[in-house]
Amino acid sequence: MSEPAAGPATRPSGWRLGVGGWLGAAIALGVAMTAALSLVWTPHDPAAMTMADRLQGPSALHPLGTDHFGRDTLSRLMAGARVSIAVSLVAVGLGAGVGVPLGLLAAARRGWIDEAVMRFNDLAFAFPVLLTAVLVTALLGPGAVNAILAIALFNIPVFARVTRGAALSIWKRPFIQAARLAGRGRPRISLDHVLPNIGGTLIVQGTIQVALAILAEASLSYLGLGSRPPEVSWGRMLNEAQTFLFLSPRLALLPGLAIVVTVLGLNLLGDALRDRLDPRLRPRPGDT
Amino acid sequence: MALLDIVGLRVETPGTDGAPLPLVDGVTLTLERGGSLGLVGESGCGKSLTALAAIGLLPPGLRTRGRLALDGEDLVEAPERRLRQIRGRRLAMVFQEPMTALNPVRTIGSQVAEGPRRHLGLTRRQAREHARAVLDRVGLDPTRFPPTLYPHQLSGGQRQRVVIAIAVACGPEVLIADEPTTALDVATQARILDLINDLVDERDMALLMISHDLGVIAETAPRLSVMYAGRVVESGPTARVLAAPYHPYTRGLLGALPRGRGRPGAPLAAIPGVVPAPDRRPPGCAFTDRCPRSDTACRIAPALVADAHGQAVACHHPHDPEDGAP
Repeated sequence: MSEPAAGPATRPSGWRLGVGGWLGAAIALGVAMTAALSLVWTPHDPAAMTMADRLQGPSALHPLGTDHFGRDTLSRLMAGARVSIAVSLVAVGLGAGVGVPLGLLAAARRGWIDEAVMRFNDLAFAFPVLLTAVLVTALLGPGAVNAILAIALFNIPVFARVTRGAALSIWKRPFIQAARLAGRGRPRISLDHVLPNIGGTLIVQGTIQVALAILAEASLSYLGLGSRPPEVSWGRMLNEAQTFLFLSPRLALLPGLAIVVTVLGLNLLGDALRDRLDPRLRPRPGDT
Repeated sequence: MALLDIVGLRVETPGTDGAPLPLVDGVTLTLERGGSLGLVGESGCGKSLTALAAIGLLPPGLRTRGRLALDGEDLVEAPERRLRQIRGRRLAMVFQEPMTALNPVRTIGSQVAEGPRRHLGLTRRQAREHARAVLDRVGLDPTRFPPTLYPHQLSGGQRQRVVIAIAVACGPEVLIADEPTTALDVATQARILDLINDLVDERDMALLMISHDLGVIAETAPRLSVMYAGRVVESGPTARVLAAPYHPYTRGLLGALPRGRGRPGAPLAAIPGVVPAPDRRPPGCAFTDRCPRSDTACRIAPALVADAHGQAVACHHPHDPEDGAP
């Protein structure tokens, strides 16, 4: 009666992320904890100026030295992590929150709705990201909130497009017909059957977009369009450091390194998460 | 009154020159309550499209015309809202490919429970219990194959059992099985056919069994219809049609079955040529170009005419029953 069994059934367990995944997770967690810690404690007040101690090298008092106003670089890096993470996470969340439903809608309905959403997307893609951001901040004024809006705006079409493309291929699968036989309408099928199947793609895209958003926030701040003093951000630190690039390259290298490491960590994590979250890549029961 | 009544069903696609091109061209089938009907034909003859049209799941762009009625209620003009209540509830379908007919990221239990939850109005917990029972019935003992498994954790035959469980979970009156065993190995095929036969008997479902495999039809359906190029060319009691086919195409199909008495290495018998594409069908009988008996009369489409035993054929030059089996 029964086919050769696939072995006794057990739920897949364990968190196999791989070396890269764990490294990425450690970096992301480290940056997040640093940002959280900076809310309650930093070695020094990141905004406190001590003109006598300016442009100092690393010392016991200032482990990463001081900048041209004598502010503690380590404290400023910690506070900067907070702004970078908050701005990029909220911006990508907003972008995905609008873009993913738009993409699902376009794929489920097709026809003129699909056309309208996609042409609006093309329009958004036609303008360089930074130009759009500059436009938004020029209209609304610089500041962290407006930087979030600007970055969210360019994330919408990215998510809409990725979602639509992935969803279209899912809609062609026979199990969607099975779901229609279960009496489900298009919105429910989109949520219950299509979205879980493209979740992996979206998570990978999400981590890449967070990384890009950190870069975008840094760029905007560097241009003086993002967060305003006394708020600290990695981009502003780069901006301020360029005057002293030859005198004290450490001031530019440290925030630059922070950005690179964070972005790298997020990409590693995203890749590993995709492999992990996709049930198709889980082992069969009985496999070792 | 027949339970499922299909009369002159056409499935049309907009042709390149704007004129609608019929892919299925005037198919008539009737399925009585609790009865079984086999639908056989080569790839591309329109048997799957007939099934999809019957259940209202045609790919976008294709149009259904003709009469399609379940228990007297017309389904061609029925609004989507009404169709959604009927699809899966009263008409259910077993799909061909168990690998793709299941959602890879949802557990088998939740996929079986989805239909009953909506169609039968069960609560989440009731639907889960129901799914467990149905999975058990199709041979997936919950202690060895808990409903929390994902499709990829099962073998092909086990997956096809899940697909069958999904189809029968709401107690449909009509079960359409579209090549349910084609993706499976021979030993598993037999067990899956047994399961379908048992379920159909036990629940008094009507079965429309679609296959290119005459053996599958012979095992499941007392009546069969043979399709060629979008039309039914022969129909009748399975035993009679297989023993003494009237239509040259049916004879060709039977003649092409490997018998096991041929010399190893000897060429297999085949019908010369290929099924004409829908836009290349000759006028009249579509089998003309491949038929050994065709003449000028075949340029006029033959009508399906039945004999005293209910065996019907659409051919101007049918074989004589005295010709014996091919």
